Amino acid sequence: MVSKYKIMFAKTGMSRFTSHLDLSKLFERALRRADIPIAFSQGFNPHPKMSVAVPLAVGVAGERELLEVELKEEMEPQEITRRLNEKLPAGVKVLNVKKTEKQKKSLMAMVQQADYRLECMVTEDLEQSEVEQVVSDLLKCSSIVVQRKTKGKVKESDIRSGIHFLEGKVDSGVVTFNARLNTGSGGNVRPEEILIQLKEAGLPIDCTCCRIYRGDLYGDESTTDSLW
Amino acid sequence: MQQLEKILPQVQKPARYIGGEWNSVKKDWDKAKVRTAFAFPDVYEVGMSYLGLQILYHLVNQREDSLMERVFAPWADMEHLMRQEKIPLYTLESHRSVKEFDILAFTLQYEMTFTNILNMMDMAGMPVRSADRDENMPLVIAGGPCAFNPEPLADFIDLFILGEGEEVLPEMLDVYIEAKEKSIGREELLYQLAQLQGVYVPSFYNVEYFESGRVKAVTPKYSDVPKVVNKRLLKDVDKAPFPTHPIVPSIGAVHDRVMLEVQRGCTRGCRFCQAGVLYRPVREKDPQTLLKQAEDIVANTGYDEISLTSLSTADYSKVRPLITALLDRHAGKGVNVSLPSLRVDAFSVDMAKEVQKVRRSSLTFAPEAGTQRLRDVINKGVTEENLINAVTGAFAAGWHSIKLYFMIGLPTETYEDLDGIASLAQKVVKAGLDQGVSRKRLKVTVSASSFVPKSHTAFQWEPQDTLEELRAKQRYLKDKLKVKFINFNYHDSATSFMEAALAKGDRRLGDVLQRAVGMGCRFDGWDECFQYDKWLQAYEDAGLDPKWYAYQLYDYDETLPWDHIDAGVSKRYLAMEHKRALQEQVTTDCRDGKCPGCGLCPSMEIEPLVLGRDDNGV
Repeated sequence: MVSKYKIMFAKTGMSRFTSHLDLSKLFERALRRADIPIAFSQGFNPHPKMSVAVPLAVGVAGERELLEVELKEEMEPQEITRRLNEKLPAGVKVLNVKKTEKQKKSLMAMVQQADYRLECMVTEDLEQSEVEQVVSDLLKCSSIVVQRKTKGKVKESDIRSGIHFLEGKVDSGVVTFNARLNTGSGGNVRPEEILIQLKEAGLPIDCTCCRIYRGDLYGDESTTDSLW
Repeated sequence: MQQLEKILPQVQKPARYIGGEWNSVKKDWDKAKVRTAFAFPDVYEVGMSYLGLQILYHLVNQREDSLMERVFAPWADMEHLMRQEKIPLYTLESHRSVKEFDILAFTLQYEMTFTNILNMMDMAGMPVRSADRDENMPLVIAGGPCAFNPEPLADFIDLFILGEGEEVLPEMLDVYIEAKEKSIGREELLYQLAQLQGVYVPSFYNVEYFESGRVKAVTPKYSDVPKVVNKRLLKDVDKAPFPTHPIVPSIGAVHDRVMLEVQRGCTRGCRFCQAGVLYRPVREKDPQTLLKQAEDIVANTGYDEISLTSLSTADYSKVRPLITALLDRHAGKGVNVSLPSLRVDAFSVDMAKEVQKVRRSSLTFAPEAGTQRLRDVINKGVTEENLINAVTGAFAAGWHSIKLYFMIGLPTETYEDLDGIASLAQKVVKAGLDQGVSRKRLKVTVSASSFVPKSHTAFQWEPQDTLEELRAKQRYLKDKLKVKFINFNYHDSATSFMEAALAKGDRRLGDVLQRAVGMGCRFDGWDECFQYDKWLQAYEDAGLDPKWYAYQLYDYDETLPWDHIDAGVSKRYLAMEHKRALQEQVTTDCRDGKCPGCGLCPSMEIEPLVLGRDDNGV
């Protein structure tokens, strides 16, 4: 009897530099150390039935990341949380676990948007009104074209339709932006791309000194509930 | 470290530089009486694959009074940013500057990492030459296989540890702590440490040269410093501390699995092999010990693969029952067993069949030479029949890809031996076709590396083939191996040429190393980083010639630059082995009780520990 669980975890501190692939390995090993009986795929080359909902760029912290896992037997969600947290390295922490019903779609296929928080140091004095002006001007644009390097080729891409929400607040030398951006297999807006746009529009921010956090993940646009 | 957070997003694989891995140990800095930084002079993924690091790390960190942290060589992108932001070389555990440690301990696995050692000291803000460092700087020590010809590094390293470190390192720490408590100066500390067996302090020795440039004598400056420094070895490998909580790397390492050391040493006596001499005698571990260790390590790491490591795992007496028992206990949880190296015989293929239920990867064999004559010269006890039996078995069992390792430039090699490589490869292809392997999938990969003569081997007197000869041989083989189903792999021999000059080198090469580092040489073992022209320039500027070193043919009665370092096998025996090699005579394996008289056991008061073949359960 296979049971499916959804795990919410945080990946913060130095562990934000762990790559997506390495993070999967990290969880696979932590599950084994915690003696949680993970299910394996059938066939010649069995692999653990576990998948992280959506990759997180190296260097970006995740505060409410999601992971799906199938176990060979049923376990209490609290027990999974407890056991895993005993076996996870510094920086990675399980926040919550719940049992899920059989779904048609995997989490990975459902993710479409995510909340981001971007904290930047300002390089000169900055008023709240300036931030609001620049943000609202940016959102008024009907298209925002950015250049992306993929496999050595530079491609242009319009990210405007992928920005669903953006606001900024200045407080003691730090400006914090909250944003809801397209994320997942259906299209991605990279938070750094927003920062570059804001800087180009005149905001005095140091893009190399920013901390980026991802929050809740969302599926279908019609719902405001997160995928948790 | 805010600066670090700023540069990490700009480098490749930033997880190399952060630490915090599962089972890494961060101890209280203030409570430790001695703090050691273990430095691996290559990238994280390579260094984390080294079992010796895991052994020493846990050995030292288990002591209440000591701590050990790790540091690896930063890749070029990281080095550039660290220097730009003035971030000194730091350890992964506490992110402290390496300069704050009491001891900086390098491991010497490969000559072509020597430039990284100097560069790492420079990045730490330390003068690279021992003579320029004062008492406030860490004591710089080094061990590992290349410590057996430490002379090219003699100007930079305060002391070398020869042989296995499990006993001598704790002894050193004891001496260090006592000296620190008594505020004993650096010179006196070195003097005390030089009294320990296995410790070589190069500054305590004078080297005299003949006008020809050859070494005349290496003599200690003090009467109670040993004339010849003996290696250390563990009498009881079975009871030796073995890390049951190894650090689990946070990014895919080269060997990212349980490394279960089944034995130490190898009895085969291949005449080119330095490790075979350095780690003598063979000492097998009890299978019960191994089963317990495997169980603990799997539970503590979560790895899904147990690799049975040693110089020649198929020779381990209990290998068959051990594999069966490991599979019995772990296969159900999705944990597999793997064998890193196979002997060239059907027995090995049978074992591979047992452990590898899915024939996904290729099987690798190392006949090393193409003809029986040359295999006898190098004492590689393998026949063509062994190889054909092995590959036939492998093809029959479902493998379709075979890799064959050879060396070119071995002493006495002729073009007939190269023809032998080509013909062996073709026989392997034929065996594949005969076994009905699909013509679309059949693949035989031939890799040929260039022979580098090493100290303390039967070939230590031998010159390396010239670079032109090696390149001509590679071209010849490439031509001969333009055959369907066969791939031929080789590296340019310039790296092997530089490796040979260092491996056979003396103390004067310190100047060359320092100049090469100054010109930007780093990671010389990586093809994309190796800068041959700069190395040649460094030699020229130092007034030395790499050919003189690499192509040197020594007489038996000459003083070799490493004669004051004793690996336990007598020079007389090595000379005899060299003569037997030239006469194409093989020497028996001491595993079966016939002692060929290498001299190690009586001089080190030890005996080989062989459990005896027995395929019953364990």
